[in-house]
Amino acid sequence: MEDYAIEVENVSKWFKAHEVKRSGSFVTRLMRKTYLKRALSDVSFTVKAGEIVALLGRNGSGKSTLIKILSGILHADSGKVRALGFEPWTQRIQLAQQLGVVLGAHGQLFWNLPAVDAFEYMKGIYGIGQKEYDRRLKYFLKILDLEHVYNRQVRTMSLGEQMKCNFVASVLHNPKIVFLDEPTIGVDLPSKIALRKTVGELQARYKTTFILTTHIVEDIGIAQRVILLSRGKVVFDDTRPKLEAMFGDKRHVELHLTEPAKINFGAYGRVIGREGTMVRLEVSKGALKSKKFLSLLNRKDVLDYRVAEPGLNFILNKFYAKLDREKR
Amino acid sequence: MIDRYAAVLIIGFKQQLAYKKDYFISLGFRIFASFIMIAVWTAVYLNSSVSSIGGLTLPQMYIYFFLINAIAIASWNETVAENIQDDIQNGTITTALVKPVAYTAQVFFSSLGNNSFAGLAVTVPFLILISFIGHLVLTLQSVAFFLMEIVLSFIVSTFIFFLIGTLAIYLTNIWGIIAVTESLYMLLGGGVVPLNLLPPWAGGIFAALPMQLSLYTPAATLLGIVSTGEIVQSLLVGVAWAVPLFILSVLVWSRVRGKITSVGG
Repeated sequence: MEDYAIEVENVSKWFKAHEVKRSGSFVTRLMRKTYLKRALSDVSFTVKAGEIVALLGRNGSGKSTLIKILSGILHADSGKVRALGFEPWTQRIQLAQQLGVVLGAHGQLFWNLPAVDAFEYMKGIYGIGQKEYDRRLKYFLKILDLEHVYNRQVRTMSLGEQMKCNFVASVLHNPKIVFLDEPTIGVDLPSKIALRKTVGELQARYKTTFILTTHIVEDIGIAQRVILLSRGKVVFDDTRPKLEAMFGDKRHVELHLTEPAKINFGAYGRVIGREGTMVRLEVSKGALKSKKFLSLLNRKDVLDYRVAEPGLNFILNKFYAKLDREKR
Repeated sequence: MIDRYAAVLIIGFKQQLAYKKDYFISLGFRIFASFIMIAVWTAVYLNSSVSSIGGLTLPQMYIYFFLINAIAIASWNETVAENIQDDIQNGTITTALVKPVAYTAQVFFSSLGNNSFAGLAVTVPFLILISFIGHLVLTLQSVAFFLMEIVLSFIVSTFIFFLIGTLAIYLTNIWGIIAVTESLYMLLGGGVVPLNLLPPWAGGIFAALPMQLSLYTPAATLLGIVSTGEIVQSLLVGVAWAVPLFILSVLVWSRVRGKITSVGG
């Protein structure tokens, strides 16, 4: 049998919502209509122990709802959920012991107290032994460059320092599953890299499972697998390279011209950017070597050019656009 | 398990420690506030032909109101309700709900940490000041009863304010209810009129309520104006309230838990 950390089967969740008519009168506001909004519909997937999964989707796609169901904060209206074998919302406390949740910038910290007080608090709450606590704290403080920060009051810390301390507070007890909600917002570049490296090390060393929601493309790089939610449904669930390959036949060509061009670029590919004497084209991989395209590159008014594979940013944007088109 | 509760208690204590200046001001404020009731009662005594009202001389009445103001900060904690409202309406409850400790226990022990600090920072120094004036009956028994009364009052009031806090699920604003409950505590607990001055029929009703444990009984215990029998009766009334309130809090919370969907998406 596979060693699953998370099993989700046909999960749906509705929310009660109110709708108020725009420019409605006072009376219509009193008689606002209550309706059920479906936040998740028939979501199914499994996550193996030790996997790093990026849970992506636009705002309001159901990511946070799903994480809240998985961590036992909300209950599913239908379907089956198991996290480490527990039903999260009925066995919340047993599950919480092995769960780490990073929400917001300072969710686990205490605003008026130094971060170390929050760490001590976690030590007590999760029953971490003194030796283990000292060892792990030392490791995290060093790798995340927090040695001179952690005994300062949280409110005097920068956003990035808070994020890093919050991360430490959430993983000190060596949880088996960690939910990371936007873990690198406001974090400086070296710390971002350190955070990602730490996630990788925890996975390799302790087989920790990570579920990561983020809008920062570089964060997705640490995930082996991507689950994409759109309006409460899973629309993509596969490896990251597969996602990248979805639009993999496209290349981006950046042309630098001698003067703002009079050339009809539309004939060579799709124009995706234009800045002064620079034009960016999206071209299919095959068309790159065509005579027609080579003749464009050889033109005298084309000074220089660069060919690149489209980044994840572009791919996701394209994917979202495709979903929008299908919706219509 | 005990370690977990201790951790919650300690963090509650530490959080109040961060506000130590506020407590210093609070001590001064409470000494000042005592004089308001003292002024009222001085006028009553001066316009009366008797030297003792309800078995209290005027100096004893002064001490009574000093004691009331010293005790009130430790014997109940209305911030329990305010914090729950905050947790529910701002979504901070998610942080509490990912911890391996029941929410009711988190609220209770964190509040115990708050009140222990308040007791040490305000009640104890204030009581020491009062003891210099005199009129206190400080025996091992009276102090032990006093502590039991304060602890029991804390337990009962925490569950009362916990239940008020859960109303935040249905109501946007519970400040009014909190304020009214606090006023009731002052009135029914003996913060305005010592309860032994009430007519017997009213005294009977008040004695069945848990509020007297929060102010009157502990103050009267230290003044030596209540019998051991009355103290024990008052403690039993407190226990009779604490047990069902505890059960009710747990039951209500388990129902409310399912309704918390306002935590955002």
